[in-house]
Amino acid sequence: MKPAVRFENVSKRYEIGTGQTSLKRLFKKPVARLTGRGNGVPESQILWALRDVSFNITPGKALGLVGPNGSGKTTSLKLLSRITFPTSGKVHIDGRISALIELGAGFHPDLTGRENVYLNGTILGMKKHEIDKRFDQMVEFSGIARFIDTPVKRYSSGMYVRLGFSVAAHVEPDVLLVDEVLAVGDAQFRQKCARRIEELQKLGTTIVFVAHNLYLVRSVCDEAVFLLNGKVQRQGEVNEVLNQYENWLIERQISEGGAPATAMNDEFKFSSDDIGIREVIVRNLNTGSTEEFSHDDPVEIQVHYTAHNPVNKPNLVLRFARADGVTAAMIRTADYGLKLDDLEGVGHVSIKMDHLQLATGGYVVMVSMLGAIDGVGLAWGSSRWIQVAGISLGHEESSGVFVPRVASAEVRPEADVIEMVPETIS
Amino acid sequence: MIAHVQTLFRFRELIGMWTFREIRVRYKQSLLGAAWAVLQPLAMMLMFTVVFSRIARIETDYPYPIFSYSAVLPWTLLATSVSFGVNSLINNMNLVTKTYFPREILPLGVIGSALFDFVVASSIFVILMIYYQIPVNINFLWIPVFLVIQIILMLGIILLGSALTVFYRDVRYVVPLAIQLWFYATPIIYPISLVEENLPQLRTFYALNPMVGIVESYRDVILEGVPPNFTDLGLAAAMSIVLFVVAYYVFKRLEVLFNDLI
Repeated sequence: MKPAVRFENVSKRYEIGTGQTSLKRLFKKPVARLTGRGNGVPESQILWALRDVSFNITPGKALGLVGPNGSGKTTSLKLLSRITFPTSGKVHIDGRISALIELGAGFHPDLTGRENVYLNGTILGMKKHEIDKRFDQMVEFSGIARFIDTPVKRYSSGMYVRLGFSVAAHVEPDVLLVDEVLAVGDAQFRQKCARRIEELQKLGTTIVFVAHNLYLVRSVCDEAVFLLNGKVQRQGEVNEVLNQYENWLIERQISEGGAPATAMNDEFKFSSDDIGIREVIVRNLNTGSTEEFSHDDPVEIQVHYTAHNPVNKPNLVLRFARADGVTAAMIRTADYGLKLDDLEGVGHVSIKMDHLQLATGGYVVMVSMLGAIDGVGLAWGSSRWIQVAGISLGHEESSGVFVPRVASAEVRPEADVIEMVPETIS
Repeated sequence: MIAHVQTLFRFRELIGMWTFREIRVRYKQSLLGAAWAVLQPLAMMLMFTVVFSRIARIETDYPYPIFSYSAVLPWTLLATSVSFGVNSLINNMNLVTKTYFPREILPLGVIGSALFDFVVASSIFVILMIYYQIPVNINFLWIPVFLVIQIILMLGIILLGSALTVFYRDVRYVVPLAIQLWFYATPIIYPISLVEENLPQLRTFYALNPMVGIVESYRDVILEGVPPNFTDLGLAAAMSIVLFVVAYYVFKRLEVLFNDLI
């Protein structure tokens, strides 16, 4: 099939500067521009937002653009929406395009909501009779029916964006560009937006999706492009690309020490005078692997400790954190009614789950050990990154967050192993 | 060029919508609303009548009010379009930088709303015609031609001016000055016969100003009841078309850079 979107060797160059025009360049510059030759801007003032980027999207498919800030995602969207033009290369799009990028960008403050819906709809390429037909639906979707005849300058920013989204989402485009707009509005509205995208997808709309929430990208997209410094780092099937992107994120976290959302891995380490966590190991009980898991594998999490003083029945908190910092699952042994033995000397606590339950993605297990009564932090540490493969998710951002089930938890001193049966299994 | 026109055709509803928006926004929250479209040329005409027929005493073949108003009308159309039009891109920065549509729609909308004013203000002209008993004649059929030539001329100026304004804000200061000078270079407050009498050697050069042919044609057709002077009108048309073609080419070439610079 002919691709709906073609990005052919696209490069985009920006000139970064003060924006001032010297008299000398006053005539030289436009002439150079008109004749299409270079205009003698010093190399240091040139920024290549994209360099030789190519990708295609088959009609009806969804492509995710991922990458850190400044990697060229936004520039790509701008090129796709023809807001700006490539310095070289070609951008080709078949059919009507709508962008959920800057919602309500076409609104005029002095006009009423109704007038703006028509104006904005027409800018997005709808015909008047199409707007007439969908008008009520749009207003209902936005939830601001009462204010539809009020000038939008009196709207709150939330109302503004909601109306903007309603219009853009009802265009029924052939190609839909979605930026991180789903981050606006309250949770209910965000879900509505996610559902609308799902609907459009079912109608066969081609989607280009930019988001930092990789779980959303995984659920929406079939394919992905990982951009780094304006170049394609990897492209292909969404999980493959996102896995590589996650690995890259993880490596960057390690090399930079800090992390975008949370302190993870090496940073997450603390020992008190009484006890320290040497290591946290997540083991696949089906394969024995400590790196690769599938959604319903049984797992064991081993928290290896060295106690300098005996620790009285501690409470363990296990947090399954995703690369974007969201906690997907949390286990507090105390809440689960899992009574741990006193910890003495060297050993490990073994916590078993019949099913891992995690959705596709990279995770790290962060363990905190708290005092039984006072809840004082005794020690913490985290596992290595694990990769989970397997299930696809709904579009809501909370997808993949769940309440885990624990099969058992026991303390295994390394000298003499005493089995301990948990009192309840949640 | 043909491709551009095709794209514009696809966006024809937006042109209408944008014109409507320009009109709405212009008169919203103003007490007199669209009455301003009449008041502006009317005030100019009354002032000119007092100054140039009572004080300075310029001789005209027709009553000064209708003589001047016949020129003030097309002139106001030009002056409003151009002064709003050259700023149309930078005034709608949020639209230009965030949405896609052929950018020439913004200047087109300005011209559309100025035409609306023109039609509204023409009502006064009808009253003047009745008052001074000017008969309607067959040559009135030429008027749409004058209008089309003037629209082409205005488009040329606005496309060039608005594109250049994106790069050099100086343009917005140049325009009011240029319009003022241009006003005196056009036979609005004086008849063209005075130029022929006093500066005959400059007559041809004078007609290079496209507004000369346009304004004179209105007077020929409406007041004299004769066909327009085809030399002057042809010159105006040629000048307008050349300007428009060059301006549209430049506009389209510069269009790709608007967003990176605006």
